[in-house]
Amino acid sequence: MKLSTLNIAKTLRPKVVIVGAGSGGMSTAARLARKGNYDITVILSETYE
Amino acid sequence: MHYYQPLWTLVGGGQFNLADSGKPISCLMPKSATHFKENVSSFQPAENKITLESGSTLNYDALVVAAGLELNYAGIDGAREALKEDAKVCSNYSPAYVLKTFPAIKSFKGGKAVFTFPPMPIKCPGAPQKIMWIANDIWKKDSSVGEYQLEFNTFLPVIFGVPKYAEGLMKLVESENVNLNRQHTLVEVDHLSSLAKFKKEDGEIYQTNYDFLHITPNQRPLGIFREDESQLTDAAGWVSVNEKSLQHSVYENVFGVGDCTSIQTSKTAAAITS
Repeated sequence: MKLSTLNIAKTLRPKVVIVGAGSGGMSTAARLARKGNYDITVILSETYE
Repeated sequence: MHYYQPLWTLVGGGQFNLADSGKPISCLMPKSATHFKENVSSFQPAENKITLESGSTLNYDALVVAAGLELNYAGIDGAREALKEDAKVCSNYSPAYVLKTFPAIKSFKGGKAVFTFPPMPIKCPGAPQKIMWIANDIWKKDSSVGEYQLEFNTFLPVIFGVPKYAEGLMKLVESENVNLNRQHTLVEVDHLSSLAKFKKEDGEIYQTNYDFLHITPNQRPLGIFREDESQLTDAAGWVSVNEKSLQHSVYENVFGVGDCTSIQTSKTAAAITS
């Protein structure tokens, strides 16, 4: 499933909020940043015991 | 800190430093990204927004939930106290306790070494066992270590969930004379008496003394998902996504990645790539 199949593809600079900064969150942020056309926000909550 | 958690097996085994498994988030964050250092307090997916603990809200076109899961050491009576007070008790799963593992391995001079595997789902199901084989390798080569017994207590009815690997592992269990207790779940640690208590399938309690104890903690969704009423999660609290696309089952602009999701694989990269 690609984001382009969503309605947000019509948005000029889609705003993507990522919750988490582990492997999944950071790699998602990195890939979207490389694509260039996204307004990226990362929410980090550290929960390590 | 951002951690590469798979390395912690080798931190526990004495081959890597914990510091080498992590980097400050700021080193990894794309320059163009905005970083909020606070928790989410609730999700409003029907309105395309989330609320942060400070009370502020963020609107989005797309949401990616990659929040991980919660290690529930508190779900095992006495486990936290044992991990804090007893040098013989360790756990590779947390940066708070992984540094105890290698010293505990090095101070072990014989007796009983106990390893645990909690109820599923968990992160990497190999890790609870890997540390046993690493420790065994170290102890076999150390002439100052006397007679010892390995014991693996697992929630599962098998040594490992994948038959191909279980076959090879059972050969090791036999050659290394591991006491394999299937369907034994750690429920209590009494570190003052060096006792670990396990609940068996029939509800009976099995208890054993230990001279070394590696705990794999119980694991569950984060509190925010256990209490979530936004339809983001399934009944158990995992973010419900399509297992092929990772797109949310209800909200098409929400995606879930990793340990926080409902996908029916073990929560490890190896399970996804296989």
